[in-house]
Amino acid sequence: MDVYLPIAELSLNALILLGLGGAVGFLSGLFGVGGGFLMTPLLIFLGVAPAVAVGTGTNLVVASSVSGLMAHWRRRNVDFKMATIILSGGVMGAGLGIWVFSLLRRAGQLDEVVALLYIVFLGAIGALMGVESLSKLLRRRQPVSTRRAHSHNWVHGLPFKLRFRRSKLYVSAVPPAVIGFFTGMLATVMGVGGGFLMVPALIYIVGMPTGIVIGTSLFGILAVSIASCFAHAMASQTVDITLALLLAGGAVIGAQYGSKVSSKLRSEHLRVLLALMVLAVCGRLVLELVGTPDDPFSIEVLGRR
Amino acid sequence: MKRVLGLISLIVCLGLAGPVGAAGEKLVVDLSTHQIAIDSRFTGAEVIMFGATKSAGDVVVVVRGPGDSVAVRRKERSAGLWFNSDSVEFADVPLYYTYAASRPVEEIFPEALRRERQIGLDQIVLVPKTDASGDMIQSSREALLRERVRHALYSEQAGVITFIDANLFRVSLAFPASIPTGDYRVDVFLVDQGRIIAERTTPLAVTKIGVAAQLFDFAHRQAAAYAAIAIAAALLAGWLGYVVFRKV
Repeated sequence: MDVYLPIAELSLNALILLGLGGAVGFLSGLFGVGGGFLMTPLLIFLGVAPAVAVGTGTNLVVASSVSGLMAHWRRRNVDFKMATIILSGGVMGAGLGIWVFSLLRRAGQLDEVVALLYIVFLGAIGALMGVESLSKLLRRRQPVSTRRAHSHNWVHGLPFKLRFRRSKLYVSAVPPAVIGFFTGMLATVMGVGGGFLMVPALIYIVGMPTGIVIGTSLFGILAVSIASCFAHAMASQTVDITLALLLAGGAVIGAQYGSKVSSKLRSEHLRVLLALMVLAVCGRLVLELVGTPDDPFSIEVLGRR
Repeated sequence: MKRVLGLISLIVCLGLAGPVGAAGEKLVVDLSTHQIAIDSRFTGAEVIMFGATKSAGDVVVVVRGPGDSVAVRRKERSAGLWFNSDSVEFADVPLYYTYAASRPVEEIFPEALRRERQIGLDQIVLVPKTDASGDMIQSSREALLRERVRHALYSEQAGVITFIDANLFRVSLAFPASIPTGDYRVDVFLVDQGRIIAERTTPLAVTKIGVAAQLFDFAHRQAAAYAAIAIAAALLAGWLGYVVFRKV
């Protein structure tokens, strides 16, 4: 069943789009990521112009993150106080990101810098998380178990300490604000919601419980994606509402299943899976940069919009 | 039905025009439609061209889409990684190009005439508007042709020219779902012994209609309202998904 997409200017099969949306929505609910960094390359693969894929992706992330957020909210897995601090940092980061974005674009190396940023962040986060969660899993098999809510590190020496009741934490407001700042900046530069950066950072740097992180991250992603969807629709008219709603139809259902599975999995298992996914995306990007491309030339039609 | 009407009206036209314009009208053509309408169920279109000739010769049909600037970028390996290095921009590149001929065009036209009329993929004129080396321009041109062919936007197989009798032919022109919108032109040449003895140009408009057109216009004319509606729709979809499927 093919549907013509008026902004993307091509026809795609509605069932394939629903299925794609469902798969990405499932991951969104499971890990608290928006799924933009998965959906955008998939849409480009289907023949959608990159700009439309990015713009429409932000709209899809609004739908999937609100669906996942409500499911996590119902399970009381959202720390709104933490989210507010992250967002205030995120807004400032997005402002700086817009400036960095135009700077890089003028230098003509935007794509490469973005790809390298992705690889560095994804690789580091994926590796750290994979090692940590795997070693914890292996240790769990042994009877010795000294349970602590979270580990204490340099973060706890920072000033401006606040009590986060939902996260059961008493930590400085500085790390979440800084994490928000960097996520906001990278999200603007790379055109994604930034959940895959925010989730591991909140787990490992701030020490939030994995379950709470996912719901809280979805709240941040929702805010970021609403802002960037609006920006894309205003600046370049690249949000295809037909395409977004078809994808969203699958995604919102997938997100419900994802959040259900998320609440049933042990947090170590969840982190191993998230680490694997982050490393897989990183590996694909490395291959893209290192491997000889099928066609070293890329073509872009300019000035149609 | 439309096509049948088109054929009937064409035949009537030919019948009326025949005796009067016998000397001048060596070639008469018409399309089954002059507008390809893209609605929300558009999956490509077929346009039938009918034509009548008053003298022997080969028939060549060339379809050109609207022109636009196109950038071609080349990746090069540096420090083991593939980075964009050179780029070149071409002005007024036809976004769609296809042709049909009753025989291979190389046999119908001399090379100079094919170049002059831009008949054949190898003859499309691409004018660089940015500085680049001759080698870069040549390989970018090839890359652009490859990309257009891969997406079925350039082809050498517009359709088969079928002669219904010695003087009446029809061509079925197939357009893919991804055709760019805009003003197309269909040029028909009647060629005899390497010379164009008659030619006709027919316009063809590719436009969005119905919901597809309204959405496109709305997105462009009232971007803020469109953005707000898109976000509201996404929020609603997300909320609905939660309400309906939260029991899972």
